[in-house]
Amino acid sequence: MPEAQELSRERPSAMVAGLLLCRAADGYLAFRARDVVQVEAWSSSARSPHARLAFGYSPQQGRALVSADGDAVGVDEVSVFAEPATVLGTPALLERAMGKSIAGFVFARDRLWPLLRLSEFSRFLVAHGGMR
Amino acid sequence: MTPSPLKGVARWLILPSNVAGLGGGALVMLYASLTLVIPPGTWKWFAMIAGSIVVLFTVLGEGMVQRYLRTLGQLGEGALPPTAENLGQAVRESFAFPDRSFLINLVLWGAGATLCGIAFSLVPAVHWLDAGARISALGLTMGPITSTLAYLLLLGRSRAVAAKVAALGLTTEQVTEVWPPRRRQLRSRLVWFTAVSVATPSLLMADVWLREMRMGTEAVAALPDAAARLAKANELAAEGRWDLAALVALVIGMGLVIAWVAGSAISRPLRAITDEARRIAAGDLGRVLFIPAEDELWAASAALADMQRGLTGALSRLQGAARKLTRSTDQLGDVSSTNASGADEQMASLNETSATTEELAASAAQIAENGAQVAQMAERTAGAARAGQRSCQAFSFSMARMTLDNDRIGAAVARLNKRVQQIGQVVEFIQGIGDKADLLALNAELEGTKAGEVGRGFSLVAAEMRRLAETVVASAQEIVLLITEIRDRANAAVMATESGIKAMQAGAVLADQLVAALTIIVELADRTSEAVRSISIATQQQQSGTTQLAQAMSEILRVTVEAQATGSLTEHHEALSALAGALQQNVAAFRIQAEEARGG
Repeated sequence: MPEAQELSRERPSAMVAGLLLCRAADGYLAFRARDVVQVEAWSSSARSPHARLAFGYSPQQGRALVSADGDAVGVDEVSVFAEPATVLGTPALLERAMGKSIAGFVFARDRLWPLLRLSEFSRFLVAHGGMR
Repeated sequence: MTPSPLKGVARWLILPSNVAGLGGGALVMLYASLTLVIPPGTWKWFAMIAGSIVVLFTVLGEGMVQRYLRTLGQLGEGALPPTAENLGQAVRESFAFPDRSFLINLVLWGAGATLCGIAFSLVPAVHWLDAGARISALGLTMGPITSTLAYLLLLGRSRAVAAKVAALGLTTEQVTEVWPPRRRQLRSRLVWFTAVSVATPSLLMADVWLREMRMGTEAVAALPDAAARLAKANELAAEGRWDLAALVALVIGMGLVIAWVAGSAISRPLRAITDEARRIAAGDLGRVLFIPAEDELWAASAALADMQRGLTGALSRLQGAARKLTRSTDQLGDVSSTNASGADEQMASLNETSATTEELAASAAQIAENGAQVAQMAERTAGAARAGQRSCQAFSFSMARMTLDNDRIGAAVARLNKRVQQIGQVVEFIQGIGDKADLLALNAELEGTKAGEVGRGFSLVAAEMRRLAETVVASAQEIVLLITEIRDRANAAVMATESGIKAMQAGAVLADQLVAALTIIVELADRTSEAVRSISIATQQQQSGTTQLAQAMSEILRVTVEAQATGSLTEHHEALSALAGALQQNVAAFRIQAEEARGG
């Protein structure tokens, strides 16, 4: 939990380098690159939740981002954004509502991306019925 | 049991023969008393001998007569049934009895007189020449005339008996059959009658005259002087004159009796025949009268009966014909009236029929022309059907080839589809590799990014690789899409080919059916053509016949018009009716039996 605590302690003007920009259905997600140990193929047989569930869609074949703890989240597409990006702060209410899985927002590629903590988000999805 | 109507008839028939015999005997006795010289003391012998012979020969003659009339006697006694055969035999006996009786009497008289003379000559004191021979000669002289008298007396009775027997159930034709007429007998009988009636009295007169002359001469010669002789001669002449007168009267009487009886026997049937002929001439043919007679008279009676039967039949047929003619004439009158009233209608009908026949002839000609055209059209139809049959056979062959080609196309498409599937598998494999490569590149880029500035180059390479991998995956995806499209198109082609094959097969079946139908059409067209040709020929014949019919109708019309102009059937009927009435009136003057008239 030290990385989560670190994120939660980040200020709105903090910079982050190395992001994985993901798309799940019509939603966009961003993860720190260092939170992801490995990218695998996600299939319906996988036991990890899919991010499409968070947007009200059924999961489909795509990529699975695996953390060091073994938690994983499935997404439709993944791209690596190596440029440094500014992390914008998150209201405490939103952070608590999402089970502290959101660490802020980053602006990349002309879009504002929610920056998520991989393990927390995986558990959040599992806690809210994201497991298949 | 009713007594037979012939009872006692046989006895009644025999009776004149006995009467004639007794009469002849009495005449002989009278003559014998005048001329015979019976010695004194011998009369009892003469009477005894003569009586015995008379009794003997009477019994003998009676027996012979009974035998000759046996059937008639048995019929009278009821011993025989009155069948046609028995009645015919009785008629035959009746007709034959006078002749037989004549012969019996003649024989018995001759035999009896001869026997009496011989027997009396044996008596002592009897000179055979003066007594015996004269007795025999006297019997022989009196036999024929007595037999003839008996014959003449029997004729009437035999006719009556024959008529009575025939009335029991024999027709004149049957009587004629059992007793056929015998000709050339009447002349012989008349000669015999004349000879007997002349010869017998002449002989007797000559005998008496000679006897008186001899006895007178002897008596005169026995006197001594001439005066006594003269006186005796005058005395004898006076006595002999009366005896001779009595004898001449007796002879003339006998001749007259025989002539009267013979004339009556001949004239009676002649009168009956004359009356019958007059009755027939008066038109009375109601019954065929049986007139019994003998010889030519019997032939004339039978011929008259035959003529009467023939006339009756002819008149019956003539009356029937007259009635039929009258009826036919009446019917002809009705028909003639009907014809007269319907003559105008007949003329009108004939006119209409003639016009219709002419129209029919024109129509027949038109039909014949149309028939010829139809025959040509039928032949063209048959030719077109044969051409269609050949085209259809070619089409069927092409369909079979197309079906085979479609099968080949289907097989090629199936092979292509299989290849495409194989390509799809390869592309899928490539896509998997691309995806894995993309994933590896992504992880590599991730690691490079996590390495910071150090791994930037690595990340760039990885990113480039990833783009390549993604390009590969995208290309593979496009290939998959293309393959899918190709496969869909191939499947569609396969389905289209199969559908085409099915359509071809259906087309081939239809083509075969069409060929069969066209074959039938060709056959029917040929038959139709043949039938149309036959119809055309028949129509031409009909046209010819109709033309002839029209000519015949015109001829009939012309003849009918001429017949109406020359005279009416009614006039002919009136003339025929008058003729039939006259015929029936003339025929009605004859009276024939009702059943024969109805039969006619």
